Amino acid sequence: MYHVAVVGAGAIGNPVAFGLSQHWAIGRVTIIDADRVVLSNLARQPWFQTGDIGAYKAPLLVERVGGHQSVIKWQAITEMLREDNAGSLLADADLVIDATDNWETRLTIQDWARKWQRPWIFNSAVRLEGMSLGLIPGGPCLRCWFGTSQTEGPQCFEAGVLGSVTLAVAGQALTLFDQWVRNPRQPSGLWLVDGIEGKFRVISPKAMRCVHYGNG
Amino acid sequence: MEMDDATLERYARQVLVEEIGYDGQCAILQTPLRVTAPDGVWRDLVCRYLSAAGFPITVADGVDPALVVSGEKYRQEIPLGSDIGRLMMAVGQAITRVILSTASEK
Repeated sequence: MYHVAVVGAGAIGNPVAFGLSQHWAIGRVTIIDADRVVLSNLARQPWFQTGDIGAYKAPLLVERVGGHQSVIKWQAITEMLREDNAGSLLADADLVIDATDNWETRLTIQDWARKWQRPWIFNSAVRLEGMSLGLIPGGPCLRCWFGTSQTEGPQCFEAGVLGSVTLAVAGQALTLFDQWVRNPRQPSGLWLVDGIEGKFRVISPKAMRCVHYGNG
Repeated sequence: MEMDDATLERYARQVLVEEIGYDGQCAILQTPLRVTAPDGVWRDLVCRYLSAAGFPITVADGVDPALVVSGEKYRQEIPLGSDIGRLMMAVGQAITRVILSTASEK
């Protein structure tokens, strides 16, 4: 049974937590988020309600999704993941699911993952599009995939996003988790949600090894 | 209809999506949908996301192993039985289609 840490309890973290709560291979889930619920979250973070505004997201999500479960051990951490606390907050995680909305935190997850040889799943969504990517030790990293000029790009508060798109992205993350459970040495492709066409696409990795992290 | 400030703030990220906009969100808020499916977590999931997007919804017990979302001009069926991730992907895309088709009728 695996321990999965989810970094972010927002639009991707909400449905990821739901998916993990239904998954046979999960023994423990840790949800990490320092944010509190605001009104504009509710249209795409549907485990939160009007009465939750002002409350910390992580413990609410644990209560709503995992509160009734006895098989899976749930834990909420109301801190922001940073370079100086990643080691302790993620210490026992077998795999990390990125449900953040910024590159700085993703790079913190990646540095931790490479240091401790752990897999993680990158996710993002904006407007009607989303993507997910499984990253394993030694396999391609974010720089291998997206180059060195990673920029923030348009963010959801500028370009908008649909909750249904973040739900589809979370579904991709769960599918990539399944793939990792079945074959932990196989790098994933880049999985894309195209909400306009109503399609999914998978782009194969261009390299199977990482050239950026010295220890693989 | 017009949205008051709180309603506009609530749906702000959807309104910002070009294909939806202010009028599309107003159409969503005025388009009743019916969710027909066996009682359980998947019906609950579909209802959560449609309600959160702003649709007025009613729920009915279905006997087929499927999630059915229907409205006056719309019917979308999602077979149950895939694995968890694939089903979440299918539900997400189906709800996006419902949202876009409703918003395009504005």
